[in-house]
Amino acid sequence: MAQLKPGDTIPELRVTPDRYLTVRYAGASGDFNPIHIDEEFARQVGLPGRILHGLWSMAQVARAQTDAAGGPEALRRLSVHFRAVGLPEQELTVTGTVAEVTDGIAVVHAVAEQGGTAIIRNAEAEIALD
Amino acid sequence: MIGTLVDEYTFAVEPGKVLELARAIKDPAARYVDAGAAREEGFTGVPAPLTYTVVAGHHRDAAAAVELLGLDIARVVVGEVGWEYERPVVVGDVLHGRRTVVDVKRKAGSRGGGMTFVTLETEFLDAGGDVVVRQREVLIETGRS
Repeated sequence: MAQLKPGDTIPELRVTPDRYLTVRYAGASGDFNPIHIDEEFARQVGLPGRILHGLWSMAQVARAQTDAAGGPEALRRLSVHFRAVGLPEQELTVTGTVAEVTDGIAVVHAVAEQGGTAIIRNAEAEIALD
Repeated sequence: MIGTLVDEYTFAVEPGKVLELARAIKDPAARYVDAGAAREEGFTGVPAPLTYTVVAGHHRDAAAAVELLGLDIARVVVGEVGWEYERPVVVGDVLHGRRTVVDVKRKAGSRGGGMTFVTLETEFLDAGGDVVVRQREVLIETGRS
């Protein structure tokens, strides 16, 4: 099990969604909203182009916690705020810091960024340490 | 509106879907595709990725849900999402999801176009009736532009 103490940083996760990632994720999740898969539609509604599914980006935050925790079974709770749209073909970075440890539960605060813009902020995870 | 049942559905946690989602989120861990690797980590079966309940998207109608809530889908974004885990979801589980409205807030906008925040909670129960995962989402309907 993970040894985490306040102030520790979790291992940084870097992942680049490829050009057709949103199509693959639409099929996996069942979320076929055209803003994720149709470039023309996305531009018509004022977006810079097709955007990542927010829950795909959240999955990266979850994976960063899983890696820090030593496995997915240690994660008790995870919540995120979506702050900006994510885009395909740009590297996404997840970073996090242990904010507190109480009764064997570490609380990690995390951020997911693309090109210096936080697309997920105020992510909070509770990881069981025992 | 609080307490309104938005939708409910039942689905099995399937190995092919777990593999498909693990690939889509680019998670290379062997535990999601290899029962032996999962057992070595102490799982009772192949675990599903933590965000697996997103596959509920195949079992519910997003447009119908938004209409039921009286929101304009063109102005709705998801502002927050959260999960609480009681135990790992594993291949072979049959989950029943039940999504209800747990909170509604309205905020006046600076130019008169108010925003509405609707918090939904889905409880996913296993075949034995125990809650396995709770998922919360906050839908935000932005003001008319």
